[in-house]
Amino acid sequence: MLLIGAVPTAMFVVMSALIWFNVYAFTVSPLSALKIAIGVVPSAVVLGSGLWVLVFKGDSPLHGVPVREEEQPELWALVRRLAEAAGTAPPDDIRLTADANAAVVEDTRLLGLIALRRHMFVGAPLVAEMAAPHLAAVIAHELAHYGNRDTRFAGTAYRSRSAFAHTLTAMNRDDYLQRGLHFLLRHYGRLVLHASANLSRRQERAADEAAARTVGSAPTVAAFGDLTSIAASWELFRRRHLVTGWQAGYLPADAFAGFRRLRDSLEGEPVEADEPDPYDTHPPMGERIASVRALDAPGTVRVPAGAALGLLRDPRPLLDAALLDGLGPEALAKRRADWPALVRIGALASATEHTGLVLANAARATGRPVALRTLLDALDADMLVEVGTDPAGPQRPTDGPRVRRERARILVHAGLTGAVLAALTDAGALHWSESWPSRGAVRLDERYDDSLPDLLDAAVSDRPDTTRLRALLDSADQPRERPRGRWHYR
Amino acid sequence: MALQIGAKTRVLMAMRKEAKARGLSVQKYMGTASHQELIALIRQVDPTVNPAEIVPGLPDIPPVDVTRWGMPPEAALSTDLSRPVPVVGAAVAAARAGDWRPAADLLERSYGDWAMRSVAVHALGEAAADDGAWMRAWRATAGENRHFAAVEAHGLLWLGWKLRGSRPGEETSPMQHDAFFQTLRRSEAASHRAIELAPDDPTPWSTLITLARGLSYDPDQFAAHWRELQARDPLHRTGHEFALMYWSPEDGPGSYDSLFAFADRAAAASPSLAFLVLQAAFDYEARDENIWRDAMVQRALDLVLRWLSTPAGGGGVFADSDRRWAAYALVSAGRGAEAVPLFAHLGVDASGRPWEDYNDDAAAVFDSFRRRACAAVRS
Repeated sequence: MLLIGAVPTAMFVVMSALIWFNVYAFTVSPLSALKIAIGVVPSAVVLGSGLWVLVFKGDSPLHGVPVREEEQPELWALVRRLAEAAGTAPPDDIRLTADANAAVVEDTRLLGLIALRRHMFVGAPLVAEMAAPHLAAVIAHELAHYGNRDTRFAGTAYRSRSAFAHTLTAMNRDDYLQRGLHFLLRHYGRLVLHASANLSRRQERAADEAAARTVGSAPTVAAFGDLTSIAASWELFRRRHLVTGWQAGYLPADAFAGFRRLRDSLEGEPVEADEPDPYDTHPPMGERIASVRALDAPGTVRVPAGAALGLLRDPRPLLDAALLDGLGPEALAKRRADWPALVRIGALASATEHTGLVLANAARATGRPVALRTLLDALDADMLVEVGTDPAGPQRPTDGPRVRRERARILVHAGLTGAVLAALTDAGALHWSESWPSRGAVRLDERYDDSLPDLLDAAVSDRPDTTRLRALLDSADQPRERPRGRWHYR
Repeated sequence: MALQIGAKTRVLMAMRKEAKARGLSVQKYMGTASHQELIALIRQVDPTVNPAEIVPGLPDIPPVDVTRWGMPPEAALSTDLSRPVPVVGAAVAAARAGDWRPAADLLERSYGDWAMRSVAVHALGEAAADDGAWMRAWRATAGENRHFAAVEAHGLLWLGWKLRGSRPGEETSPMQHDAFFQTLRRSEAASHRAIELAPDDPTPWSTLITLARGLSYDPDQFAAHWRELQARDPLHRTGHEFALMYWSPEDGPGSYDSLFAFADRAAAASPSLAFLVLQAAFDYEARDENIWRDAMVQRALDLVLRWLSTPAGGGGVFADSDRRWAAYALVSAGRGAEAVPLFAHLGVDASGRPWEDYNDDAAAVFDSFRRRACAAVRS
């Protein structure tokens, strides 16, 4: 507490001294004081605004979806039992979030002297993937922070850090006075950040021990492993899979089923070992596991074995709502698709990024309708450069003919690939499938023994040859009852 | 002083007018207008003022008449890199006109003179990247021989850069990045083909060294290529130049200490490589401009100047290349007056490094440096 308060106190002292000095100077010589003020006022303003962030900043809006006790009595009952075992009051609300972690936050005022409400955040990925005793260990760990009275000042410690960072970045280093202050604060502040990280590590160790005493050492150690692997795979899932159809307006119908399949496909792959970071607020994982194991605690609260999902009634809509909450308001407008459809939608959306432009160029160059056949005709007529010119592209007046031609070839290849993939998909000649952990896979129907990449390369080569590509499209495009996509062949 | 204030006021009035014409505030206009536009505007108002003294941050272009020192006017400057070596210039001009024979003759005649071959392949490679017609005609008539293969490999390297453009990564589209990597991969494959056709030729190995940065070779991979180049020509200039760029800590592996050590070792091996220390200083100057007054840099600069005064140094195919580095270093080190004869010798040739690193501003930067050199004589 002493150290946490030290940065803002130092900032306050420096600011007051600057103001006092200026006021004093004013009484001695108003003209000199005015000159001094030119240097002092900006510094005082910067320090003052940093302190404002620290002391008066309210709570940030809560994220996550509330889990109501009347709807989910089993989860609430577990949390209450764990709170009782930890010797603390249960939280005022539980919220399910889209993050792969759990947290405790208390609303406070005046640097943590007044506490208002306690919130518990539980990540939906943890609920979806962990066993109930492991999730109980995570919750017990978070509740232990309440029992230890950690959380009330945690907000202050956090805000002290952000006020400090705010002040440092706001300082204008062109001016000597501010440069000097910057130097002092930077070196002194580094010391304090280090100390507050140390304090935080001690709190984490205490919480680990409390969790082990409540639910047992074994589930607690297992929960550590789960947390690391879920966090890594969730990050991959969010980046690579969850938003694959986002641009086309789609989200997965059952996101967590996909997450399960991703994790199954990653089974046995090593999880990155965490490197020690001097400012990390958690002790190294190896150390945490060793000390919990050494306790060999049997646990006092019995948690039924089985998946954590069993703690929730009708969990799917709740998990889905938490996921949408994490994706922002735009997510509500997305349509839903199952995973194979999503693979197709996402891949075609990115493959056809340049298709519209290339087809339109071909239609303009030949005076014929916008269609894949028109594009192939234009390529046969050696109109590669016309078809592949992007008015918004990076061309320069000094570009030679080969540069223009190569640039066009790359654009046309991309646009043509998208058009062909779309046409063959419409014709039922391409099969899209899930292929965890990759984004998906596509395969040409067994009826055809062509190599699609070779056919596409041949169509945009210096001596263009579209005959085999046309033959493939013709044989695939037998009239059938099916909806037409945007980029039909005929 | 009175005149200076007058010019400043008149420039400000002109800027206000220009901003109004574009519907912008003066601040907004100054923030969006390019250096070239601002310099043009200042010159319109008064051609005898230094833009850096009117608007802080604009290049230092002292108002001197360089023609009094026998230098050509700015409008006559050329960034054509085939110009400095006349036989190469002739071969490139013929190639650009569609005739591949002078290029083939030059490469055949000079085979074994690796310095000449390096300069010729570099300049012909650019011509090949601009227009592939003469290369196709060459291959159709003469087949794929060692000369064609070396130019083709280096030409694909040029093509990759032209497709990418020279903007920083974040201003380059994914498609430009893809085109760059694909084309550099083709250049890499073509280099290995050229090596098969001419196992004793260092030139394709030098092309691979040049590719190393773009293809993110790891240090082991780079070292393997470097050994091959060294075995064929231990003092290969272009290879050293691009090895230094590979090792630049700017966004590659290595540190400045090892960069300067590499350059200093090369300079000790031969005065023909002393320019590398100046190149390293150029790389470093954004961090500390005082590097130009550093003893090691000054020593290397004097070594380059002495080398240029010898028949081998002053008459070789890389003589102008050394003159550029020496001229840049002299002006940067506050010894501008000594650079005047070098700039006079370079004449209209504003090609090559360090100027070409300024892309579209290459000729303007060249002009600014020679004006600073001339201004140093007067003061």
